[in-house]
Amino acid sequence: MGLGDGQSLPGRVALRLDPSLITRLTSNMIVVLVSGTNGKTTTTALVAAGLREAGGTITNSGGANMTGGLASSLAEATPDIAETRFAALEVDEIYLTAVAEMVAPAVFVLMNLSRDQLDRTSEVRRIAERWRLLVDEMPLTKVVANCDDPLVCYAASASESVIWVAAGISWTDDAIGCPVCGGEIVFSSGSWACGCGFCRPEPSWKLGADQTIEFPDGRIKVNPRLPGSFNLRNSLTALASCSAAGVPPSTAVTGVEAVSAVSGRFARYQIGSGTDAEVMLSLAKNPAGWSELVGMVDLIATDSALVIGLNAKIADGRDPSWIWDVPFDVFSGRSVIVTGERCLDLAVRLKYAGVGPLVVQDVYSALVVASKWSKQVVLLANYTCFQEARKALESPLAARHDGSARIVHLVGELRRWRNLSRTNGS
Amino acid sequence: MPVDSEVTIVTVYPDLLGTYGDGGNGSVLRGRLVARGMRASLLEIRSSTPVPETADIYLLGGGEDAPQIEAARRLRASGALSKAVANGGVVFAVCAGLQIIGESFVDGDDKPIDGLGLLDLRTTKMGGPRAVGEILLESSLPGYSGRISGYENHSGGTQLGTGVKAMGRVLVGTGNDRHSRCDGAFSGKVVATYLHGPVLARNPKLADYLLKLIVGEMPAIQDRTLVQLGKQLHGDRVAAAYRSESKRGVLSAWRSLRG
Ligand SMILES: [Zn+2]
Repeated sequence: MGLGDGQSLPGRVALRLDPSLITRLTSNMIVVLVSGTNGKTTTTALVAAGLREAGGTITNSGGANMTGGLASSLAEATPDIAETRFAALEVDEIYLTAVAEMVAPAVFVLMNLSRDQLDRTSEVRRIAERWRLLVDEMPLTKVVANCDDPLVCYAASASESVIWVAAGISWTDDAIGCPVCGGEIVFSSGSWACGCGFCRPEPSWKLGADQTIEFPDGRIKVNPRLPGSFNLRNSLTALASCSAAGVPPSTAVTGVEAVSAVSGRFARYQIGSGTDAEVMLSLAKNPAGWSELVGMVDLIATDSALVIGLNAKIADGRDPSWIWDVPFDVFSGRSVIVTGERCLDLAVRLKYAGVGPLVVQDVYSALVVASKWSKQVVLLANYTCFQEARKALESPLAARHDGSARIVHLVGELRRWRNLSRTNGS
Repeated sequence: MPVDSEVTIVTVYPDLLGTYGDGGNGSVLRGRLVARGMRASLLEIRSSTPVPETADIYLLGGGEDAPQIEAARRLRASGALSKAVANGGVVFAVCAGLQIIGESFVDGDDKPIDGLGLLDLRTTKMGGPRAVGEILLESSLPGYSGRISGYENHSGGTQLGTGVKAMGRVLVGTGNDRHSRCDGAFSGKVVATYLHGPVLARNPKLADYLLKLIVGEMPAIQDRTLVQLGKQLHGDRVAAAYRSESKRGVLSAWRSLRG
């Protein structure tokens, strides 16, 4: 597993030396665990920002969301542990039970369950079963659950203290089989139901008109700096979660609104120095995430140049056949630059969707080409392609903007390789 | 079939059989007809809807265990696909779809489940690790020479009976099982394979092969971008299959050296 490896190694070592490390460090904290296939990194950041308005808060930013990564994040925060009141932790869906047993959380936040990298989590239904057992065994933990996702509802309904949030769902294909009876769940006009009686619970937290959030004892307006409708829904989930942890929305909203980028997601970078071209980076790791991003027409204005990037390294999943499930047709009639090691797969996919693709394999070069089309560039990319873009934009070499950066880089690599082979030879 | 009549393509049960972007095969078939100025309609028939018996091309995709069994049950009960084949329809089935249209396959407990019996083949557990990765074939389809590229991800092993021939000879990857070095099967206008990817996007020639079974000879596609991108992707994936094979070779050599 490539994700978060560098961050999790020290934590894995520490856990080996002291298996009770995580339990000990969090024993006096109110812990909120955030899990789900999509949006958990962003929502965790929003929850942490909300809680911070009420007291010291630690979090595991950066997506190190398995036990080793958590231990690393906590260990880094050790000097401040005494003043820390809250922990907002992102947890991988599969690791939720293991982490919950270590930290005795006050709140579970269950966002959504859909197909992730196929070779890793082949059956999301199994995860729903595990979650269901977990919340049943922890009756003191409050569960903030997305009532729009049938699999989440199936898991959460085993708990006696559920706070239902209408956080939306953009991907229904995995949830079609009813987890109760195996029958077909029918989605219509914002609700869902199965013939067996299993149906959408009534939410107590939901979005009202005009960016208002309605909750049991009031309503509040929220203006998140993060773009797009799904970040509004993430803010809704975050405020409900803070409330479950004892921090009212009137307090938490200030922190939630102030978050502007999460681990580089939605961050804006200048493309090269001395230019006024700017790129906004957005990341999606799986079909559900891509469908959300692609559907954010409010994010991808028609006057900006669009670059779509796809890699298929281990951390991305080796099989990107899911690109055929993403509704790229919304870009029909536009021109789009495709990049990354599987740019040809994307190009063919887009071509059949009526989009005119231009192939530029190297991601930084693709951004430079796009900046000639428009001063505003938007990059949609999957995990390692997103990281490559970020690295290229942050490195001083990238500032040269003229392509010579690549040559300088290549020369550097060659020199390093020559030195290496010399050392080995002697 | 006259060139100006509409070709109807049916994606069978995308809610149960569509794990590997299999819907893409339908988009490719329709796209290649439209690019030739021909008319085509693409119907997605979900499992709650009756499957029509008079469409031209039927597509079945991959699925997990429970949905696969459910799809087989519903299709057996409806009988629509057998009638469609009798009416001269083309069936193209991938992965779980291949297993469903055979005589039988097995559930998670190795219990045999009846298939539709459209092809003389049987599927059981292959044993050992799942077959996952790039796969490359030399076509054995009549009148189609060349390589077919795809991605496989399955634990079932398929034995062919005497009533069918393999779709291709395996150059890289696993295919039907670990011994026969062949993949898929065909008989008449029914074609099945373990290759997803979606396989028709990676292999425009295979898409046109299936279309020709319905419409006969077709005019060339004028959209040069569509033609060239298709060829480039095919070449890129053929090369990737050979690269993955050489990596596997190095790995297995390393393992055998270490004993
Ligand atoms: Zn039901």
